[in-house]
Amino acid sequence: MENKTRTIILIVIALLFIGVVIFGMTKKDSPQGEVIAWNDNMTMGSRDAAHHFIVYTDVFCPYCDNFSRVLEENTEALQEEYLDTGDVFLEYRMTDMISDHSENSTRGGEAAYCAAEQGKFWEFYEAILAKLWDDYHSKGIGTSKTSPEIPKLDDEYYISASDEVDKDALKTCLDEHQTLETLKSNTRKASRLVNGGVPYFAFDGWTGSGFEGNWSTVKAMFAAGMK
Amino acid sequence: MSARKTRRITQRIEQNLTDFAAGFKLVFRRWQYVVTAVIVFLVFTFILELFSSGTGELKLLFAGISLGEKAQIMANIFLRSIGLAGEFSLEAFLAILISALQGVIGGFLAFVIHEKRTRPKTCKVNLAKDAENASIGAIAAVAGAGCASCGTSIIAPLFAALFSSSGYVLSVVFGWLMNIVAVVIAVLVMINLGKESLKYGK
Repeated sequence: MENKTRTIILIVIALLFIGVVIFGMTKKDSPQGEVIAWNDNMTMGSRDAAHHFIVYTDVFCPYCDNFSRVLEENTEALQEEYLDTGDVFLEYRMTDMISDHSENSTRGGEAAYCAAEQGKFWEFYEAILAKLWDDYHSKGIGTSKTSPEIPKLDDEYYISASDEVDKDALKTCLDEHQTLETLKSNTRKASRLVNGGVPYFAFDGWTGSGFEGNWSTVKAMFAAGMK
Repeated sequence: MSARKTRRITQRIEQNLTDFAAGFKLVFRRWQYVVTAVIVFLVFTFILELFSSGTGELKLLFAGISLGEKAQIMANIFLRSIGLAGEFSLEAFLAILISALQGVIGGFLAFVIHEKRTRPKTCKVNLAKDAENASIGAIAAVAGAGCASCGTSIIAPLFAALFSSSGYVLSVVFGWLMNIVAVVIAVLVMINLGKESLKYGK
């Protein structure tokens, strides 16, 4: 009798777990809404492209960094195979979704929107990720829930990241919190659309979260989205 | 707690560990069970890596992409799971530890099943109980894998649906709890199976 009860309990636990997995995989994603970009300066490719791929991200999210670095290392292939062909319009939606875990997340997001206002989002984003990689992520700092946290960074860290950004304008923008409301409102919108944390990919018919792969993984994600 | 009680508990733990060590030596001097343990270890690290890297790779395996692309994704996950790609972290260490414990359990289970078949009346071993406990530990390990706020946890969508954005913080705590449960159950089952394996060696 005792064995029978144990077996039933085990079956219930296993079924619950399978249920959670299926729920995570098949939960109907919220419609991504209008296919217009939230910020035109955070996009790549032609607006007339056949597919609109969206990446929800956070400057301080290590897995977002993984994804962006893979894209950067393969910029030429990305351009030739997906953007120039008119297949993909790629949009980044910057949030501070990990602000519960990283005290820098909000300030980093503000700086990204400030740079976007100058039309220099990609230059800033590439530079800040490279800087974060050199200073922290490559040393195992701020890379996971158990790694040491990145210390509170001052504004100068963002201002000095890229020489292509107008530093004075960026400083004023940060001092006056000019983009804070945009960041917060976009994060609120994103939290309704994202299913499982950032990075979150809404590639037309395919959605998924997390990234630890390489260029072949990105190609597979693009292929899944273009189906 | 009285000194006598403490001494009794210590003696019991010592006895259990001694029996486990003897059982371990008995089972793992045979190459078949070492191979079984290694296979279970590799399969388990692969599953943990797959589940801890978010829903992306898991969903790609079910997406309408070519078999070649799926094979490449699986190869990447496998290389990461055995530490040939990716970075070292406490999560990676925990995944390896839990997988190693499950590997040893797998070796013990194979031994006990084999001995039970060939010598059914030699002794009484409650194999079903151990197998069930090992399964609960395995489920807990998989449920606890990943980092919720980073989008790499299988339980994050459920917690987010139940508790909105605060669900991510809760699922991190839940993940840790599950990791601890997985290690504790695996250690207990392993010690128990080691002791029971010893019965067949006597």
